[in-house]
Amino acid sequence: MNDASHGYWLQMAERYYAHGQIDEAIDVLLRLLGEDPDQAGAHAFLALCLVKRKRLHAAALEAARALELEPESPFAHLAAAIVATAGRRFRDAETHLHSARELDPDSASIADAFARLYSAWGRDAQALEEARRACELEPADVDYQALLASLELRRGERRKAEALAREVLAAHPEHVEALCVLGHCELAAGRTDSARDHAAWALQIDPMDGEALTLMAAVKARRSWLLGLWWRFQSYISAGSRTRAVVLLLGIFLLYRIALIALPEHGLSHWAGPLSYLWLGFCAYTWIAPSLFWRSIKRELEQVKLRPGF
Amino acid sequence: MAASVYRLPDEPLPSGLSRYAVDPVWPLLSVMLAGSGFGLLWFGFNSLAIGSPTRWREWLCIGLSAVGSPLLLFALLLCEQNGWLQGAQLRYAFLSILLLKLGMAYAVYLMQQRCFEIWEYYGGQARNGLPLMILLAVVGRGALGAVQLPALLSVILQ
Repeated sequence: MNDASHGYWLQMAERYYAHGQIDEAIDVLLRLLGEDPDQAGAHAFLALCLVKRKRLHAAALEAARALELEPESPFAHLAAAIVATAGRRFRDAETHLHSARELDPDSASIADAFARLYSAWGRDAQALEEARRACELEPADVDYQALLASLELRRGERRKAEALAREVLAAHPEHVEALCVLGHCELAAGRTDSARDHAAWALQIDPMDGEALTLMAAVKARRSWLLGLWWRFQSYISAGSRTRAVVLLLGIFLLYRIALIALPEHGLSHWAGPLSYLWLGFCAYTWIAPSLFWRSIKRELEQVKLRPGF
Repeated sequence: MAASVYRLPDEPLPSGLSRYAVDPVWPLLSVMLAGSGFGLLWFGFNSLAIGSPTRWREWLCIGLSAVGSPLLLFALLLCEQNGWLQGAQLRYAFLSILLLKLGMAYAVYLMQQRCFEIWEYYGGQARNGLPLMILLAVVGRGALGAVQLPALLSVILQ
């Protein structure tokens, strides 16, 4: 395979990625790497695709391979930073991004990655600064504007966020992040039906997008307290690593068992029965609520018809 | 482009047992309802069936659970004999065995779940594990209860 052919397949993967066809992009990259496994750019790009599919272990190995092959590549550092951000290893991500910026100071995508890192880290002011920098560096790229809209919404500037999201959607009507921002604005304004339309549209474009699912969940939570409660519980449990989720669940179970021993010790054995029923109810609820939730989301997606004014 | 394809490090390995693969939630439920002996054995087999690339780590967790629980029991009984732990203290301390078993079972479940999703993505068709889980929970657990086993073996299986 020659360089022109490499370039062609990489471009094809990039095009798939840009259109949200991540599996197709992965497929092209695997074939490309099957021919030439020493392509640092392809490894780094594969890492980005794997992050989208939440295969973080493989993504980290691919990013490491890219850096091993080309330690001075800003794109390899950028990919490693994005993987580290997804795995909530914020300090590693920041180190990689500083290295990437030293190699390529005027890159908007590095500013964008910094903004997403700081946003995940809870350093909102720095996130906003980096998002603005990305927009200044590449004003024509709607992705950076959509990120800025999302950060403006996060700090409560709903009007600014809405204006930015509408601007993005005027140029790119299927931009998932902008649709989600606008959906959240609609929900905050009490227009639940319109928010639902935005969420359904975003999920039609990318059914696995986390933001779109969060928006749909927020709409569901507004309509049903039962499912809303489950979603909040689920978000709390699953925020962070899987180890954290296991530790939390085992912690809850341990508390229950400790209470079962402690209650009779303190002369409160009559509370042991209700506590057991409560625990049973909690277990049943965590089994039933997710299937109800996903069934209702699937039903929404099957029925989705956009209103004429949308 | 030629047919050679790069293999990702988290992809399932080919396995002749794949027709017996189940969603790892069933072995996890078996640990809870039928006892850790049956559940962990099922986990071990399932890691082969789905061709899990983390199978050695999963087997290590299964081994830790199988070896760790009798060791903990032995240590707690020693504490009781020497009067270091008594009454409610001992009952709290016994929770550590349960925690070890559940912690290891969850760790194996999470490792297998990640691989299982990819395995299904590549067209793997999982079997329904519910009938076996019910069989193990009703018949298997009943059989374990009916047989008088040494305490150390019983703590591994139950």
